Amino acid sequence: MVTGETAAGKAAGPIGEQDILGLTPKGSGELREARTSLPAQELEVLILIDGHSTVAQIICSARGTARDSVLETIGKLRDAGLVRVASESPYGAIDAGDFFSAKTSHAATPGDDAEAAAGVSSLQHKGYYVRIARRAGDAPSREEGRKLSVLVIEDEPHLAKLLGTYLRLEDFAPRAAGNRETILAELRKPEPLDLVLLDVVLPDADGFDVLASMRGHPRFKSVPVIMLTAKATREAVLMGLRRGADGYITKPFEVEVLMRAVKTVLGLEGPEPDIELGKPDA
Amino acid sequence: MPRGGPAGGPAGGPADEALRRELEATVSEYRASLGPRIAALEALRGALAGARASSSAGAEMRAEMHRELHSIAGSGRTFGLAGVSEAAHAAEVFVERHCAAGSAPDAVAWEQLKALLQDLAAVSGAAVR
Repeated sequence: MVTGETAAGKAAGPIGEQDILGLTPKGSGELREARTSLPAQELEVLILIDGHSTVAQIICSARGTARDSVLETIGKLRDAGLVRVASESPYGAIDAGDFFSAKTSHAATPGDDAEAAAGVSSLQHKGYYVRIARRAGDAPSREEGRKLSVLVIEDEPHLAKLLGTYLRLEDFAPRAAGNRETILAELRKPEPLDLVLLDVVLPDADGFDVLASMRGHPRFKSVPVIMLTAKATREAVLMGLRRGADGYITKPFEVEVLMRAVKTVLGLEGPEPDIELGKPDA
Repeated sequence: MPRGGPAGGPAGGPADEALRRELEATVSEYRASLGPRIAALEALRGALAGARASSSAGAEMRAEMHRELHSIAGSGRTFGLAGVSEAAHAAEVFVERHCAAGSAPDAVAWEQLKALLQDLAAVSGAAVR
């Protein structure tokens, strides 16, 4: 059990494993505004909270993380006003974000041991969308006059071209690749690479594999990567973040959102001050 | 640093203006590409409806259809065509559901897919007119 104090300053009740958690509007915003400063583990748990799953199911889904650590993280998220126990919420068990975005939802039954054991199976429903971007580190160093280089890995040619033009408007130097051969060709170039926008479904490659290969390569392990994909399940989002992505934007997206994510990840535009902390949620 | 988008309307120097024209041209190209792409999808559907479920050519065509629907679903809204994204997504989900594990839809399902592609064509046609 975890107890604490809510962002509203009220003493929070204990969280039990059969409690169902939901996101507050602020918690939904953290996943949708392309600028988050949450640590990886808090972000991961936030993604697992869907307004249907019990705490026990969330613990099962958080693979590789100890139960007590997940509970502690949930407590922190609740204290920050990002999460609430559904029974304490004026929204009941309805997740404020998911309710309007989920096209088909999987309603897990509290206490359903089989579902809890299955863990991530509850993550696979469609219609989940996020706009996550975390600052990857300090803004890249560069000689004066050098524009930051962004590699767009995208096989839809019009979309790749559109993003390239937008990036030039934003004073970046875009590069493009759309398949295995062109990805390798771009990565072999000696020029510095400051950011990669990476589609997942490519004609002859899997973006998650490309990400994993980059993270295992000494030259690219620290290059920020934003996944840009229509793979819209919680499971896919978690896979991207666990493999080291710095952002995850589900398609279709507005270009302005992507540009904000690019700047956030590169440290050119930081998260806004957390002025909502300490206030009750709307 | 910038300054807007295809629908937006940033002010800028001559270089920005050229880039803005480029954005508009790309949007127009994308919109113009939809008609032929959707026609190709319908042709693929027709070929698939007559193909043997287990043939490798059939599986390849189904994968191609799924990829193309996924691509349109993932890009339409970015080009200002939210309805196109939604209609393509509906067809994509249908293909995913009916083509899982290498199986093929029955005759009724092919007709349902035809209707979904017709929806997509109608939404796309209305949007680009």
